[in-house]
Order: sequence, then structure tokens, then C-alpha cells
Amino acid sequence: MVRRWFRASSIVFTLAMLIWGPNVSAESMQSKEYLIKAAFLYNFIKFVDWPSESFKNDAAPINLYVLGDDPFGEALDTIRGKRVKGRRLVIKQVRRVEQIEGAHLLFISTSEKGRVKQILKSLADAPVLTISEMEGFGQNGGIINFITVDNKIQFEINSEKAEQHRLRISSQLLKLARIVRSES
Amino acid sequence: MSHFRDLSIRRKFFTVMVMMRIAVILFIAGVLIFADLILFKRTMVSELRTLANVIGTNSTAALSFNDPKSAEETLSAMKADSNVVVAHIYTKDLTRFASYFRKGQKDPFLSPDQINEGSTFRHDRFDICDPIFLDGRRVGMIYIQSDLGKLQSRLKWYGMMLIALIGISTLLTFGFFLVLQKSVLNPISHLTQTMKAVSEEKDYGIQVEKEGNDEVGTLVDGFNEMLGQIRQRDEALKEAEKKYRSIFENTIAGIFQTSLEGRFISANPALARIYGYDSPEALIDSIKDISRQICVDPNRREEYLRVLQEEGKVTNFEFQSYRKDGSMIWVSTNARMVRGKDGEVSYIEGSAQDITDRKRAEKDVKEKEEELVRSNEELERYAYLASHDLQEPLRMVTSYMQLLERRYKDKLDQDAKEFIEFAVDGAMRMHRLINDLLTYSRVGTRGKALAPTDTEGVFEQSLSNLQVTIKERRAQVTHEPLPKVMADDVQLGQLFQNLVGNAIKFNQQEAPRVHVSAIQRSGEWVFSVKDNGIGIDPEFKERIFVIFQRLHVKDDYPGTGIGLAVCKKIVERHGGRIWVESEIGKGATFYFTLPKEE
Repeated sequence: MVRRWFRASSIVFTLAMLIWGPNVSAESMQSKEYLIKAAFLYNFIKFVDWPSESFKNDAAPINLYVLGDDPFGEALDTIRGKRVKGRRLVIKQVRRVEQIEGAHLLFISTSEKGRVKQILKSLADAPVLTISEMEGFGQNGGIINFITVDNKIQFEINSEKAEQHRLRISSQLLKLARIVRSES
Repeated sequence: MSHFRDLSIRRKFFTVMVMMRIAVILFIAGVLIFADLILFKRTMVSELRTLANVIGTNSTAALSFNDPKSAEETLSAMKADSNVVVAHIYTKDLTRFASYFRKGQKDPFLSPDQINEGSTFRHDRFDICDPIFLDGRRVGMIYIQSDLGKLQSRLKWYGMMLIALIGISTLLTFGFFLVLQKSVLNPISHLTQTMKAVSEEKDYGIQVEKEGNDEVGTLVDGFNEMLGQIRQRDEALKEAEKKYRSIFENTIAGIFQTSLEGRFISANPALARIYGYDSPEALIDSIKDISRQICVDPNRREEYLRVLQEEGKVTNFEFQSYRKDGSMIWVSTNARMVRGKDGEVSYIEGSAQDITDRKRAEKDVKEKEEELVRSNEELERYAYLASHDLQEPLRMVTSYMQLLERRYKDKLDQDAKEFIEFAVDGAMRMHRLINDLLTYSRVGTRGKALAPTDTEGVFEQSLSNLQVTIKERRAQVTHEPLPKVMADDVQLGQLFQNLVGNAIKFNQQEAPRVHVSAIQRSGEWVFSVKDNGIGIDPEFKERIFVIFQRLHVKDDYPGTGIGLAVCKKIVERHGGRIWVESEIGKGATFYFTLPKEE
């Protein structure tokens, strides 16, 4: 039964490759990268524990704020409103640091590259998982930073910083990541 | 199993004990091992599941972030379990994500035939397939295949344990068996050997030693007692056999057993002697067919067998036989049929006697008897003829004497007259004598055939014949009721007349009394004629029945002395006897017997 289904799905997959495969454009390549990154964001939640006081109650949602220009486009729609760890995932785009109150995850867009240190400083020790995709983000006090190695999306984690923010990151996740330290 | 039946008790016991132990061990061990294996399997599955769960959980991040390398690192922890052959992690859409192979695994891409959740046991392996969950969602599957090395080594261990157990148990059984053998089996086999010795050697003097008071002891006691009884009986039997053997060997009667077909089965020396053989063996070997070789008339043998068949036995069966030398003898046989349990005739047994001498003697006696009868008859005929013929010349003598007396009465002197008187008197007496003799001889030669006769009537007739005498002597003749008998009525009348006449005649009483009666005794009538006369000296009680014998001078009691001789002859002709009981002066009673009416 499963095997038949397995075979059937592989046939569908092959068909899909035949239809869309040759027409993969630069734009779609880019959107695929952010699709993966969106999935990673969603998955990070599963491997990170926030202190309980960061939620008002058990039903309170998990807030993911994107600070600056949104590079995801429609990719975030794939995870928007999904339930994770028993909570709803709320995604919001913000422009200014003042607006990030209540965020559990904060994706800092490359558009904010110049103000990163300032932004991170303003967060102080708040239990916010900071994520970005710029070189040296981890070393500068960010927690998770997407990197591309051999055309594969990977990530760096500054585990010491995570501890400072009272976030517990699963060892499994740490095992997959490249561990970095803050450079002061 | 019939093989097992023939084993000695010792072996049976041992076999049963060992078998029982092995069966018990196998049963208990089987149950325990079976239960343990089920438990062990479960433990194995549950252990492997736990491992799968741990690895699955530790692979969630790798699955989530699409990092197969990390997953394979995690999977490589399987090395710790040498029984794991392969392990795979699949993504949630069931594409293989990461794999582990045991070193030396020939087919590194061994994958499940189908991905079924749960555990599956095969004959040589078992596999489990569990989903991997993360945050309540299925993110992939983990598949682990393990060989049954643990199970096999456990089984091997159990097998060794079992063999060791059976070995130890057999040793223990042997120990117990030695105890059992000493206390139970040895006495039994001792008993058995003794029994065999007794039945083979017929030595009933043996006694078995008793070793305990258990059932075997009782058995031994019983056996000894039985032997004792057998011994006693054996001795009694031997004694009896000796006795009968001695009789069998030494009796003058021939004893035999023969088959229906006419062969001797056994014979004693006497029988061999009767038939002129040296030994019973010689007789048995020589005679193949009794009716042909022994019987003078084979039909006699046929009759002998017929009587035996019909009546089961023959008594005093006489037949003529040939002896070995061809001479003929008479043999008398008593024999009976001996039948087996099935009722079929087994053989004939009996005794035989040589009666040749008796037969010869019988023949002699018969011949002599016949001769006697012949000469008696001749004598009677002669007496009758003689007396008849004597009458004639006597009558002539008498007539001429009387003529002489009548015609020459005047011419003869007194002496001559007296002489003539003597001569006439003598002639008259002679005439009477001849008449009596005629009467006597007529009893034998002129008698009638015997017929049913009423004695009463005959007796009355006799009395009326004696009427004159009775009146003259004033005699009283009484009688009791008289029966019917088989008789010649004329002779019976003569008998009564003679006896009653005698009773009155030999009587000096004023009134002679005569009483006649008859009583029945063992198939005949006994008549008695009782008087109160002069009686008879017992010395003469035989003589009085002899012809012409007189006890008294003829002047006292006239007569020729023929009466009782005639009586005797009449009674004997009727098949009876006559005798007298008397004493002088006390009267006499004459008795005679006559056969009853048929």
C-alpha cells in the first residue's frame, strides 16, 4: 500500500520536474531559497525553547517579525498562521525597532545591515531569537545566521548569545549548525 | 512397543524412569523456554524500538533541516548493536534520507520489502518501522532490521542447559535406579531366576530368600508356600503314581489305551503277556490294526466300537483273539470312551482278561450237564418203559397164582396155600412198586406245560380226593388264602395230596390237624404244610426225599416210600425247592417254593 503510494508519488514528482524543471528562472531560484528559509524559520521554533514568561498565556501566539525589507515575498505565506508547539505562528513586517515589542523571532533583513548593532543592542537580553542572513551577524551578537555552503543553505548559531537571551537551543539543532562566538 | 514388552523388568523400569524424567524436563523446559522466548522477543523488539525512537528523535533536526550527513552520523550509533543489519531514515514522503549498514553487509542497499509500521518477525530476522514525530507531526520514518543472533545464542545456551540437565537427571535416575534395583528389582529377578530353575529342573525343594516385608516379600512368601504345596503334591503324585504304576505293571489284568483307529497307545506287561508278546513296547509296535491282527472276527470289533459309541462303555465284552503265535484265546474286556474337553473321542481305555480257561471249563460243564440231562431222560424213559413192560409178566404171575389158588384150593395143603399167599402178596407189592415208579417217572416225562394256576381250586380238589381218609381219621385241614402261581395243575394237586396225606398218615393224634399257608418272598411263593404228627428226626430230613427210602417198618405206616420223592421231583420241575423243619414228636412243617405268576 505504502509502496504503491511511494511509487505513485515518485511518478508525480518526475512529471512535475518535466513540466517545471527546464524553466527554473533566477527569480524562481531565489524564491526557492526563501521557501527553504521560511521552512527553516518555522522549524527553528521546534528546536528552541522560550522562557515561559515570554508568553501571556498558553494560547498566546508565537510572533515572527520581519524587520526591514521583506525578502521572502510570498514564501512566508507557506508558514503563516501554521500551528507550532501548540501555538499559532503570527508573522508581521515592521519597519522600526520600536515596533518589535512582543516578538519571539526577529528576522533582520539585509536592508537594516547598517543598524544591526544598534538594533541588537536595543533588544538587550530580551528572549528574542534573532535571525539574519548577513556575514558576521553571529559574531556581531545575532543568534542565527543563514549561510550558503556549496550551494546549500546552512546556518550559524551563536549559542552563548542565545543563552544570554534565555533561549534554549536543542543540541540537535546545534549539531547541524556552525557555532560562532561574539567578537567584541 | 512389543519389543518393550519383552524387556526385563529391570530395563523397563530404567527406561520408564529415564523417559519420564526426560519428558518432565522437556515439558517444563519447553514451557519455560517458550515463555522466555516470547518475553525475550518482546524485550528485543522493545529495546530496538527504544533505540529507533532515540535515533528518530535525534534525527528530527537533521530531517527538519535536510541534513542527511548528520542523520547518518546519528544512525552510526547503531554500531553498538551488532545485531542491527541495516537502518534507514526516510523523509515524511518516504524517500530514503539516511542509511546505516553493518560492516561486511553484502547488500548495502537492503531495504524493506514494504514499509509497514510496527515490528515484523521473519525466520532469520526481524525489523521494525516506526514513524518519527516532531512537535506532534510526522517528519519521517525509521526502519531497522536486526538479525536473530541474540535469540539464536540464547537458544543455543538453552540447548546446552537442557543437555546438561538431561545428563545430570539421567545420572540421578541411575542413582535412584540402583536403590530401586537393590530393594525391588533384584529380589524380583532373583525370584524369576528361581522360578525358571524350578520349572526347568523340577526341583521343588528350592526356597527363595526373603529380603523385605514389601509386596516383593509377600510375593516371595507366596512363591515359597506355593513351592511347598507343589512339593507336597509332587511327592503325593509320585507316591500315587508309583502305587498305580506298580498295580499297572503287576496286575494280572491287561490294561490298555487304544485309538479309535485300532492302535495301542499304551499297554501293561499283563496285556503283552495275554497276547504273547515279550513286552508292552513289542505289542504296541507290532499291532497296527487291532481288528485285523487281534480279532478273530473283525465284526466283533465293529460291534465293540458301536456299543462304546452308543453307551460310552462296554462291560465284560467277550471276543476271540489271536495271540502272537497265532493261537486263539478268549478275552473279556471292560472299556470306556475317554473324551477330550471338546467332547471329541480321544481314546479308549480299559482292561482285558484272558478267559480261555474259564470258557473251556464252562464248555466242559455245559457238556457234562447236557450229558447228565440226556442220561436222566434216558433213565426215566427206561424206568417208564421197564415198569410198563414189567406190569405184563407180573400180571401173568398174579393171575396164574390166583387161578392156582382158586382151582386147586382143595388139593393143596396148608403150607402150599400159605406159599401161594406169600407169592400173591409179593406180586401185589411189586405191582404197587412198579405203579409208584411209573408215577415217579411220569413227573418228568408226562408233565404239562406250566400255566397260571389258581392254587385255591387245586387245593380243594386234593382235599376232596382225600375226603375218605380225612373222615376216617377225623382230621382237621385248614388253610389260608392261597395265591395264583405258574404251575402244572395236575402235579400241583398231586403235591398237595401227597403232603396233606402224609401229614394225616404219620399222625397218632386223636384228631390230626393240618394247616396250609403261603407267603410271598423275593419273587416266589413259599408254601408251608404244618401238622401235629410224629415229626421227623432232623438227621433224616434229606433222606426222606430219596425214592424208596422209608423210615418206618411197613406194618406201622404202609407205603412204598415214593411220596416225598415225587413231591421233590414236582417242585424241582417247577423251579422250586422243598425242605422240612421238624423234631421228633413235635410235628413237622414242609416248605416248598413256586415261582410267582408272570
